[in-house]
Amino acid sequence: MLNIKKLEKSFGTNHVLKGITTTVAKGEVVVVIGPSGSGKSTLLRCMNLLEVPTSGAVIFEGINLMDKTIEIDKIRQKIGMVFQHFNLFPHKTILENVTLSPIKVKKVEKAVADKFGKELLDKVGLSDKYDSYPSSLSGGQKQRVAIARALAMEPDVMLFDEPTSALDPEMVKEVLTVMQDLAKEGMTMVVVTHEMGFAREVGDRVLFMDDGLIVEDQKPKAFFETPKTARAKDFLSKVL
Amino acid sequence: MKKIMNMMISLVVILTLFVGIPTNSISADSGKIAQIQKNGKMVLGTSADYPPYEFHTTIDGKDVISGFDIEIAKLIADELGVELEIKDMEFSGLLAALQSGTIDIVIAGMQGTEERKKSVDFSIPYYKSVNRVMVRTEDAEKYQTISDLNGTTVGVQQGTVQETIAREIEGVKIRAIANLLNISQDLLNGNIDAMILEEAIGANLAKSNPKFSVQMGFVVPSVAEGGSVAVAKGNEDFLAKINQVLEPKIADGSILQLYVEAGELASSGEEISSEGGSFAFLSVYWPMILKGTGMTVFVAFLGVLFGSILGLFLSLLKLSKIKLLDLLATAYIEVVRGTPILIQIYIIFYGLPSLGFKLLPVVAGIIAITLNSGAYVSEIIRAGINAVDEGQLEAGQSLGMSYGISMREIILPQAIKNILPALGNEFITIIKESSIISIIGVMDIMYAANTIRGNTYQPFTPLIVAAAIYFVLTFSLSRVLAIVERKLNKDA
Repeated sequence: MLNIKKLEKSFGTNHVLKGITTTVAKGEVVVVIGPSGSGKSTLLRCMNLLEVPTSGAVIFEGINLMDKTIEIDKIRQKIGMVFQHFNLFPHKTILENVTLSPIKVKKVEKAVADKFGKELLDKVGLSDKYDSYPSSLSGGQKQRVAIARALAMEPDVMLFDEPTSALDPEMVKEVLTVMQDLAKEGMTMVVVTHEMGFAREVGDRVLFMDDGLIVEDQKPKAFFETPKTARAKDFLSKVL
Repeated sequence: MKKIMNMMISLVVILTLFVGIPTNSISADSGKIAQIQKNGKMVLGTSADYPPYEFHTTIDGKDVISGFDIEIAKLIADELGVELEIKDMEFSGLLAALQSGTIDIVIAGMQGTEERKKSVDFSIPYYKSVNRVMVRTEDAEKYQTISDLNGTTVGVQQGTVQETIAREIEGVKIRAIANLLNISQDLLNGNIDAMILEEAIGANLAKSNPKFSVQMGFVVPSVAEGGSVAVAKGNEDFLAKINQVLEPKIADGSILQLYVEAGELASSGEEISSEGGSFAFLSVYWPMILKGTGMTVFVAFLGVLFGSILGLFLSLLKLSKIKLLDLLATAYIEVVRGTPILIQIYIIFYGLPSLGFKLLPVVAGIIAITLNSGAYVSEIIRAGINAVDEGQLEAGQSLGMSYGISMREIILPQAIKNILPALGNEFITIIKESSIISIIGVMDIMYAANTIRGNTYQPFTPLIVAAAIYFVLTFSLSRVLAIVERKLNKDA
């Protein structure tokens, strides 16, 4: 579904991604972990071209996103994204946050979009918040709205950029539970996270990144129990 | 983006409607007379602060421009069988307006000096004026001949023949400003020692204020033959017609009669000021002030409205990823912000007509303020947009929204909250700055104040009234803005 080939990204003289090659298969949950500054978020943001790679290729469902002739807006409809800081639209109600893009981009009728939006909000446990504004929600609630908002476009893959890092500890679980349910339904997911428990239980594969490279690519059990590299061992000893 | 384009297009359409059809002022074959007759009106340019030649007066509660020159213009218009339309503007801008075709004819007590003859044509002189020196009454003894002016500062109206005369006098320092009343105030205040002006004008001033004294003992040398009618070059048929109208009237003395009558009308208007204190003019001139206030609000509002649309467009160009568009917008903003609005107004009012666009003064004023305000508003909008968190645009894009949809649905609605208060301040600034359009004859508050000063010989108090009105406007607006701002913050 998603092929990354020799991906490099520099910000000025700062060489952040130094040649990443990997694939994500349909239905797979890939968890990306590693120390901060290792390039995890940049890699994720390159997957929907929010960050334009310096070189290499990002091939999604057979289309190279770096091809200048493609309509990137069209392709992004198929790639949902959840941000660390939620990025909800503060001037819209919760339901409007979820239905805005279906109505404006996909031209779905408002009544249909509302119905589907409410279903999604029910699913993430926010059936009593349709008409509230984001400012009245807790962090965990905001992130669940953000997930529902991304799902409203019916994407083929979901990208999560440290979705629980900005949350108070007691709210982490409610977000992870939603993500776990999503994985069970067969959603293809790429998750950048520091939640090792989630990586171990929900992930199909773990990518361990350090210094702009994928250092290990393993099944979670193998990675956590028998890491191959010294850098992974060192990292795990610090976070576990 | 599409909506914005639509707005831009409608703006252009509206402005085009205002501007009207390009004129054929340059076409030589049809002849000026034929052109005027086709239009059904002759447009006279004059500077109505110069009684008895031309001045504002109130007839049946209405402000009208009357005077000696206006009567002459009526004679010519009657001969051509057309209506007379009067455009009141600064004296120094009259010839430029004539050359650009904004007006057909200038009659403003203007004398055909050699300098002026280079740019326009003059009729035979219709009245021989006499120039005098006016001083403070307490100094009357000191000035017995023209040579007594040696070593003094002399005030004259800018661009007039009196200025030319003053420059010929030895040892004289010259203070030349546009408004005659300001010069007379300078004389009262002691900033200048004497004024050179036409006898009739001096007589009117001295009559209204005993502190002025016209020196009748000597005549100031003249550099021209007397007041003449000016037309643009290359209109021999028109000029011949004008001379044909003037000659018999000069010969039989009926022109002189018109001059005397105008003088009587001019001095009859002054009675307002002599009764009941320096603010007595209010009882007569309040409708003019009220209208001027309406005009100021109208011009400022449209200026800010169109300026905001232009500003939005410019700010989007500046945020554009296409370098050339960014560059164009930046260049525009820098040029507009880096040049005085006074010059911008002159260029629009006197410059555009030469490209074939005839502008009403009020339209020129609105355009100038729009173009000027647009540059400042674009910076306000840009700052407002930049203040919206970057993650908002990313969120929109990650949902498949185009840049345009993200802007319209997500960024701009949030930016508005940052923009509105600053935009309100811009409105306040524009209300004040719009006073400058009075120089091209837009009848705003400032124009009303200057007119009243000219008519009543009250050089100071009309300004106080104008200032008070500007303050009331801006202060109430800032109060309203404070309330709106509070409400916006509450909704957040």
